[in-house]
Amino acid sequence: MKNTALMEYLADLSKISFSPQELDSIGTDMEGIIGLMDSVKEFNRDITPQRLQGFYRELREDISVASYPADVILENAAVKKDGFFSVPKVVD
Amino acid sequence: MELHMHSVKELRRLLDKGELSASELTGYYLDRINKLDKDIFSYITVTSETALEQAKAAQAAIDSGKSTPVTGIPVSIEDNICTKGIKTTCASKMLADFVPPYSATAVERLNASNAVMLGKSNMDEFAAGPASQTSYFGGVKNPLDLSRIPGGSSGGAAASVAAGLCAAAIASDTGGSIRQPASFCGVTGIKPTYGAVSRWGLVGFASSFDQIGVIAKSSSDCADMLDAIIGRDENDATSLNYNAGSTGAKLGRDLKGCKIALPKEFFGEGISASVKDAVMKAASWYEGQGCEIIEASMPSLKFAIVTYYIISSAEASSNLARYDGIKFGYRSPNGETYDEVIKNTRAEGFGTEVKRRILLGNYALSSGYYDAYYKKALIIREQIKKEYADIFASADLILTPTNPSTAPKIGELESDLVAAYLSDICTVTVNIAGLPAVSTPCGYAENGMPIGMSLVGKPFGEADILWAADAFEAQFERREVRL
Repeated sequence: MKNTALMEYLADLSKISFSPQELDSIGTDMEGIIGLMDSVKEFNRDITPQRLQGFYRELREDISVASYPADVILENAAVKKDGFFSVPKVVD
Repeated sequence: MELHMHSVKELRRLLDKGELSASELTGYYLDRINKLDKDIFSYITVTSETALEQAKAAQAAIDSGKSTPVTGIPVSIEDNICTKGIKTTCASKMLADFVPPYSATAVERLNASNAVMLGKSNMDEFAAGPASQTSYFGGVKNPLDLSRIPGGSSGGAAASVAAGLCAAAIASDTGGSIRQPASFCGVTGIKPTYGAVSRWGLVGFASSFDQIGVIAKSSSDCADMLDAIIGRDENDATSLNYNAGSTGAKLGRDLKGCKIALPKEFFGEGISASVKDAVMKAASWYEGQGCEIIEASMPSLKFAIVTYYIISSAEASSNLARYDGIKFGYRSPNGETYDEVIKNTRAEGFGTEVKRRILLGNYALSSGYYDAYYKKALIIREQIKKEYADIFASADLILTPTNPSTAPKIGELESDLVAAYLSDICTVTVNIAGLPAVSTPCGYAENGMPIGMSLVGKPFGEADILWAADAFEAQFERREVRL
């Protein structure tokens, strides 16, 4: 598993920044776990997974209902401005 | 007998007869928390003011003859269950200051029954862990032996019950997070059928496994608490109309004729001799009560751990993608661009185990690995469900150990991650199949630590498993923690 390129790819997919040392350490941890995960390859029965069948029951009626006021939602935002979430500049 | 040693039913009687007021009871528990929890750290937030206000409302309900089984009963709520106006941190730096604008349906239902919330219980960060040591705020200790873990991820909930710091606890179970700590702390914990309790307001980790349940001193207490929160909620499309009546409906009935299966794989390699011995003695006790003990097999158990970790990590990587520092939660002050802020927020806001699960989940879902891991795990999930159905074709209940061993010392699990993951072997299949299971103490090992057994039921079989567990508890001498 300690494939540096793969670990960097997974870190990017996961949107988490790691130092090279952290990534190396977590890659070592994952070696054993991936080894464990590989055991699923020994299972060879052909079964169709049902996934969501029978998973969701009665869906509620699809009607719009009042949501929370913007100021209530913004109370938990770390940075806000003029009634909106504030984000770093995306386009120069 | 000291108040914290009373069952929920006994407290109900004292409250309804006027021998104790809800405020006195709440004050008693708050005093115990102030005095004792500094050594255990079962609570992240103690909600003294709210609790005393709720106690007044509970007393008014009692005085007007409108009490329910849980009115005035002081409980802890796990800190991944949203409570309006009260911090819900998931034991993470990411949500250290998050105050939800709404309460979980389970909490709303407890409020409607005038239960009293003492505070928010400590846990593994985002419920990812078997030890309750990954909390950003500090690890939980086992009240029976402070050098040992209480189990996880709902270790704070189990410790708060075991230490007499609440009468009962509401917590979540994704792969054994209620049952394993209940086992390690010598108390009773039930994970209901998937969908029995609304997940609305439960911070999602692995949504197809997560379920809210109860930890208490006994199965009877679990039934009272569960009845207060169970049932369909239109805010959770996976919740069910629970038509099975009270989960305590069968308590006290004769066990004669009940068929209990023992799948041999749960008693194989890796299960300690003391655990095996205690659970087999429990099986003999059931046989002595007229139950029929049936040999059974679950051949796919050997794939259960990997199936669980692949699917749950995949779901966790998706669920935890919402923590970007923009809308709520921690935001890193480091980074110039949008992407840098998000990546640094997640690097600084999540602990190591949570990051590991996210990476694992994205690995299992990524191109080239999806079929080999995630799709295969979904297939094995179907097989495990089928094997449970096959056993239940000729059995009413299944009896297994809850955990391969008793509570390890703090720090032991961290030294071997794979062994730590494998320690969930006895609990994860229940979540994989969405079945109800209760863990209750059935013995004590030579080190003095409790051993838990699990009774697994058919879907909606909560009344069955609580019935059988309650009967065992009636003759079992559970050791109270003296604090």
